[in-house]
Parts: sequence; structure tokens; C-alpha cells
Amino acid sequence: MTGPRFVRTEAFRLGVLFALIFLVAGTLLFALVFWRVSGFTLDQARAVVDSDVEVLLAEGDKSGAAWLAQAVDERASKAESNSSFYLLQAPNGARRAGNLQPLPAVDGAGQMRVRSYDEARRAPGPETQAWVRSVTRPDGTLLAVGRDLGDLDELNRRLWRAFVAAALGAAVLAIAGGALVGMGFVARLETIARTSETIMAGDLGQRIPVRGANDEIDRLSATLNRMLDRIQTLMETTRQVSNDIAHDLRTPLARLRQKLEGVTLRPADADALRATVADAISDVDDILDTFSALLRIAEIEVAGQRAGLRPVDLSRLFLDLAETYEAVAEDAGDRLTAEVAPGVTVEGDESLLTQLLANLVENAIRHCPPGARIAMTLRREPGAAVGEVRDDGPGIPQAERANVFKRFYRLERSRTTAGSGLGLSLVAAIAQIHGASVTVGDAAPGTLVTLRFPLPPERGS
Amino acid sequence: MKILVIEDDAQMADYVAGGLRDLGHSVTVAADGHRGRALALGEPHDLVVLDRMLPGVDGLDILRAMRAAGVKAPVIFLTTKGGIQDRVEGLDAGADDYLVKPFAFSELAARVHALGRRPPLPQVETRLTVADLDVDLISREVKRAGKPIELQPREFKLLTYLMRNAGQVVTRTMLLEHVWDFHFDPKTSIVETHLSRLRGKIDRDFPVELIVTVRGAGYMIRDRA
Repeated sequence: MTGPRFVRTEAFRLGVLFALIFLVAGTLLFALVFWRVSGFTLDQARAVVDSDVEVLLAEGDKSGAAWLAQAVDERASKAESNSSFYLLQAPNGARRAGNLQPLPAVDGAGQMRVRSYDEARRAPGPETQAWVRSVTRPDGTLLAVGRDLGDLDELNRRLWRAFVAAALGAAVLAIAGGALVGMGFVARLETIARTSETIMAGDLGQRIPVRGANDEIDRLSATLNRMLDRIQTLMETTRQVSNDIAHDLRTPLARLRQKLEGVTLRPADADALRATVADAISDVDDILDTFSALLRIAEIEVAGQRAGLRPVDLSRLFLDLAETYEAVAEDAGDRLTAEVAPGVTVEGDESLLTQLLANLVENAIRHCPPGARIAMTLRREPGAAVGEVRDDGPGIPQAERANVFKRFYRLERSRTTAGSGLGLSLVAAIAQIHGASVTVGDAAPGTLVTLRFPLPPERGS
Repeated sequence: MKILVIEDDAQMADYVAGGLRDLGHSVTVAADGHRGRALALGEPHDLVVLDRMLPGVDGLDILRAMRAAGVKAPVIFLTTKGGIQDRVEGLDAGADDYLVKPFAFSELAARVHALGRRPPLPQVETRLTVADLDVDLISREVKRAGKPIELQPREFKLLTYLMRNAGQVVTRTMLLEHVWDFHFDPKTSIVETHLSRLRGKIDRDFPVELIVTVRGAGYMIRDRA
């Protein structure tokens, strides 16, 4: 690439662009001043010359040529340091009076180079730029009056010098400013790039420094940092889940391997073999179940709001599940009752809500000793539909309540019972996409799981 | 039955085709989606077993093409994704049943059987009869040998599903899907509990057991005593 890096930054390019705009604006301003100042000086010269010419002509006509020559000489001698010029010229082109060398005998007015005539030394003076008006009188003599414009030239030169100096200074300042801002900008972007490199190299804990100025780069850095936080959380969840899977699937796989190895080591008859294979298939099914549960949770979490939610009659769903599980609970020696307010409807996915509720009821049945009482209730509260599954079993210790919704989390005492430890994670995932909250509390004694579905305040029913 | 299996995984295709041939069906295997589509549209089959994920082709597209071309053969969709979205998409596209891989062959066999026996046009039924068991679908009265039997709503649903598939094995999963509308595997013995109660009411006081357990496969209501 060409040039130092700051030259390629947007800030530097902007600096140069502003320098150019500044130059153009300055030039226009200068041109205006130049034009107005010169115009003013010329106008003044012209006005003085015109008035002098009028007076001299009028007096000359009245008082005669001799008087005119005298008046011209008088004025010429009064003119300070050749700032005004007067000339009376004979028809043959010879100077008759005044402080100017002879001029072409042409009427008119305009700027021209003229040479003065020094009466005292009787010799031509220096040449200068002047505004001159020449008029031929009736007797053929030429009267000319002029004003020196040398001052104007000097003024113009000075204005021009000042302009060049100012323009150069402004351009240097603009470019230097652009470079400075550009370098600062580059330095901050370099910081972001360096931090990103470190993160890519594996240090996910790194964050981009924020200066606290709340400017664009700070806001960008803050956004990037929030994104990094999110990614880090997701990475940690993924790592956690992978560890959990590795750990929780290794145990049943090891058991399965042992079983199959046992068959190859010991002679067995066909029936024993068949029984072992059936056993092995059941183990594999359990492992597959765990996988399905994980995939299902992942699917629900990813689907999120995308899942099409439709009105679901929660009251009917509670009653249906109560009917289904009353018999199951009875077989397990428990008693299941349901108290369901009629006509409670929520926006949801019926299939997922069925699974949510089934998981809660099955948890209660499986984790309570025989003789437990399990109660399902559904009621309407202001702004919410509240569902509860309550049992009078062993309950969940206060310290563990927040953990039960984590994947693969199992209470120490249920380590030995069947189950993947994913049931409540699934419940949490399903509740989340329904905007519902799910909490575990103390039924004193036992477990109380509360589901709270937000309801729109106005409901036509 | 003449069955078309569209499945790209050779091992899975052998497993399915071999098992179905053992049951006496005539099976054609299409190992890729293009051949599968050509066969499904070109030749009449009694049933199609269709894999959802085929290289280059979505099984759903084949299914839609079949239904668009007026092919009415029942289709069992095989999918590795057990997701709700997947299932709904398959059924919406015109599948008659779906099965999540991996599955037990007995599960597929039961479903193939159930679909193969399905009458081409569902007639309006008002009563179901199996042996001396008689169910009035309108008044929801159940009688065995003329003796009325009281059933819970869920037991009634369970019984009618068994009776509609009389003589065929229905699996636990089929019962969960059709009787409970459960599309997941419950951790408690829902099916066993309710079937045992139903049997208690249907079979206990009678000399012949109608509802039988088919080991390793499922349940069946016998159409002949």
C-alpha cells in the first residue's frame, strides 16, 4: 500500500477535503475583497478626475487658454508627490503646461501607463499607472487629468501576499489536523483489531477498552463487548452441555458395554442371550431418549418465538392430563386430584404444553414415595393464568431449587433412579417460549411447582 | 403389498426392505431422491416408506410431487428429526404417518400394516364390533355379550382405536400418538396402566381374552375369538 496508514483513513481524507473547501471559500472571499477594494479606489480616482476636468474646462472656456495653462501648472505644482497629473497639450503634441509628458491626442478615459514631468528639474519623472481622462478643447488643445493608481497596485500586491500566506497556513493546519484526528482514529481501531486478535487466539475473556466519552467508537466498542459477553455465555453453556453429555452418557454406555462383554465371556444359552440383547436394546433406548430430550430442548430454545402459537384450552389440557395420570398415580399408590377453573385459555403450542405438564406430573409421581398426594390446580389471577403441581413428598432443598432447571441436574438422592435429568430443563425451555415463568417452591411438606402464564388484561370470554 | 422404500442409507434400506420382505411384501428400494421420485410417480404402489433427508432432495418435495400428481398411496415418513415442526410439515404435505429414526422394526411393521389395511375411503362408522364386543359410537355404549360395560372417556378412546385396528398389532407409540396425542415418550407407564384397566373391564368376567399383549411389539384386539 502507499503512504502511512493514517493517510488512508477517512478522517485524514476528510481533513484534506475540508482544506480544499476552505481554500475555495478563501479564494472567493479574497476575490470579492480584491474586486471591491480596487473598484472603490478606481471609482474615487474617476470621480476626482471627472470633477477636475469639468471645473478646468468650464473655467478655461470662460477665462481663456492662458488662464487655463496657468491653472494647470498651479494644480500640478500643488499635487503632492505626483499623486495627481495635469496636462495641457498643444495641437502639435507639445506640452504647454502641467506635470505629464505629452499623451496621444485622443479623447477618452481609462487606465494607462504615464510618465510624469518634473517642472523643478525640467526633466521627465518616473513612469506610473494612472487613471487619465483626456478632452480636446475647441481650440484644439488637449486637456488631460489623471490620478496615480500606484497605491492600488501596492494594495493589490499586499492583499495577494496575505492571501497566499493565509491559504498556505490553512492548508497546512487542515492537513495536519486531519492527520492528527486520523492517527487517533487509527490508534483506536488498532486497539479494537488487536483485542479481536487476542480473542480469536482463544482468550474469550478479553474486552475492548471503552474511553468513557460515549462517542461512536465507544458505543461500537460497548456493542462489541456485549456481543462478546453473549458469545462467551453461549460458549460456556455449550461447553457445559458437552461435558454433561460426555459424563451422563458415558455411564450408561459403560454399563451396556459391560453387559455385552459379559455375554461373550460366559457361555450362555439362547434364552439368556436373548434376555441380554433385550436388556441391551433397552439401555440403548434410554441413551437415545437422552439424545432426543437434548435435541428437543435445543429445538425449542432455537425455535423461540418462531413457533406458531395458537389459543390452547388450558383447562381442558389440565383435565385431560389429570384423567390420564389419576390411574397412573393410583397404580403407584398415590392419589392425584385436580382443581381446574373452567375456560382458561392461553396462546401456546398444545403439544409442548402437554409435554410440560406431563413432565411435572410424572416428576411428582416418580419422586414421591407411595401414599403421596398430588394436586393439580389451575386458576385465573389478575393478569395471569396460574397452574400448580403440588405434592407432599420429600420436597427439594431450598439451596437446590434454582438448579433443578439446569440440564442433567439431578438431586443426589435421585441419582440412582431412572431419568435423564433433563425433564425440568425441558419444562423451563417450553415455559420460556410461552413467556411463562416456572418456579419451584416449598409445599410444606413437599414440592410446589408454579407456572404463571401472562394473560392480556382484556379478555372476551 | 407392493411397497416402495426411498432411502439413501444402504444399511437402513436393507434393514427396512429385508424386514418387510420377511413379512411377505414385495419391496422396491430407491437409493436416491430422483429415482425415488420417478418410481413413486411412475408406478403404482400400495405404500411408500419415504426418508425425509435424501441427498440433494428433500423428502417433502417428493411427497408434495406425489400428492400433486394424484398418487394416493399411503406414505410413512422417516425422519431423524423428531421435532414438532418436522412432524407437522410432513403431515401437512400429505404423509399418513411418520416415524422418528431410530425405530424398532416392529414399530414400522405395525404402522405399515395399519396403513395397508386402512379402507381407501373412510366410511362413516356408527358402531364397531369385534367378536362379542359391541361399541355404539353415537351413544358411546359398550356391550360385551349383551352386558353393558362402563368406560372412562380415555378407556373408550383406547378401545375404539384398538377395535379399528382389530387383528393388527398397535405399538405403545401408536397408542400414545392416537389416544393421548402425546408426541413424546412419557416416563411413566401410562399405556400399560390404562390398558390394564380396560382389560379388567372388557375381559375379566369373560372366558375369552380379547385384548392381548404381543411381546416386544405392542397390543392387539383379536378379531376372532
